[in-house]
Amino acid sequence: MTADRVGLGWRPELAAGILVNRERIDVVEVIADDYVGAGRRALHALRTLARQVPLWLHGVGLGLASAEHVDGRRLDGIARVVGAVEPEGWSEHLAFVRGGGVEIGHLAAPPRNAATVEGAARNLARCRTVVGALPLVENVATLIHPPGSDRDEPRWITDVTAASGAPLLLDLHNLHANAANAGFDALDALGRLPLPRVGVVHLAGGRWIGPGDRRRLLDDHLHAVPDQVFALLETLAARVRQPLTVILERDGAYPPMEALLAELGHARRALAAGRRRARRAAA
Amino acid sequence: MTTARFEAVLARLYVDDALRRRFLADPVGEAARAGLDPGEARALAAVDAVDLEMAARSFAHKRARAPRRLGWLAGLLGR
Repeated sequence: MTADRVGLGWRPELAAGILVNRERIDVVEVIADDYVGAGRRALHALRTLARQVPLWLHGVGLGLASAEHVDGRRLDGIARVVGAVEPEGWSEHLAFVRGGGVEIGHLAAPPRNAATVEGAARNLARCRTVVGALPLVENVATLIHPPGSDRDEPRWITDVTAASGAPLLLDLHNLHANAANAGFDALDALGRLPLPRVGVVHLAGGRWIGPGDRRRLLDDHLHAVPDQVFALLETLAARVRQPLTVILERDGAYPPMEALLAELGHARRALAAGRRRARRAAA
Repeated sequence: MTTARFEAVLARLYVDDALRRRFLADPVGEAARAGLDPGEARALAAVDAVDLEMAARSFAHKRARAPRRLGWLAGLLGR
């Protein structure tokens, strides 16, 4: 079995720190949308980076989980970036980001029902045709129970991945936040997800917002990864056999690089502890 | 259920403060005026008002963030 890997989301503010600490960072993840419309020089630079360190491209703007068809021009743009950079793989969110020409500006959880399962499967099939490979699909955080839903999140994700054949990028902080906000048990939900499909894992942090009796956990990527998320990572590593690529996402309020590297170390220890649990259980 | 029209109304609710105020004052009526059928209107009207407001503010904050930069990687790698 290939070893588990741990890495960082590539951001301009972190780039120098990543490059000088390459021996402690196995893989990087780059926002694909940043390079849609980029010139040859920028794409060549990213391709060069991909030759130096294992690199994943991560999309944020396709809005695949929608009754609307994925926008052809946006998808062509992603295909151009993937073709130019030749990453290990690419990923996108199970979100809708626009409707009726209105841009929401971020990742909204779609209604969880048969129509969005069908729409996501159709859009993912289109991705495979245009880009040449299916993306890993990521669960999103939500502050709101999506109106129009008729099933819970684990069931909906299982249905989408079964209908599309897509592998899963499991964001454990999104799972943790949704569990906190909707009042379900994250560990139970983890057990109901299609875990053999998980190839990549996201870790992040967030903060509590809202009035005292209605607090909600916001996945803002501006804070350290909480212990509960590392515990979920350990459990995941204990339950799956395939190697995992774990990416720490940080989008601002950057701490010293050493603090991020310490979080990567924490992730490695959680993975190792989970693998040990699995070996003990099998013995 | 869930049509492109339903998603369009939901997207507008997330970004249009005035529409959201009207909707929260009369959820079923505003959903019907937006062209949703009675089933869709009831589904939309069931949304939690506090959660809707928090989600809308979160999206507004994301929209307000600075645009991403390009070219920095090429400079960093000297190309």
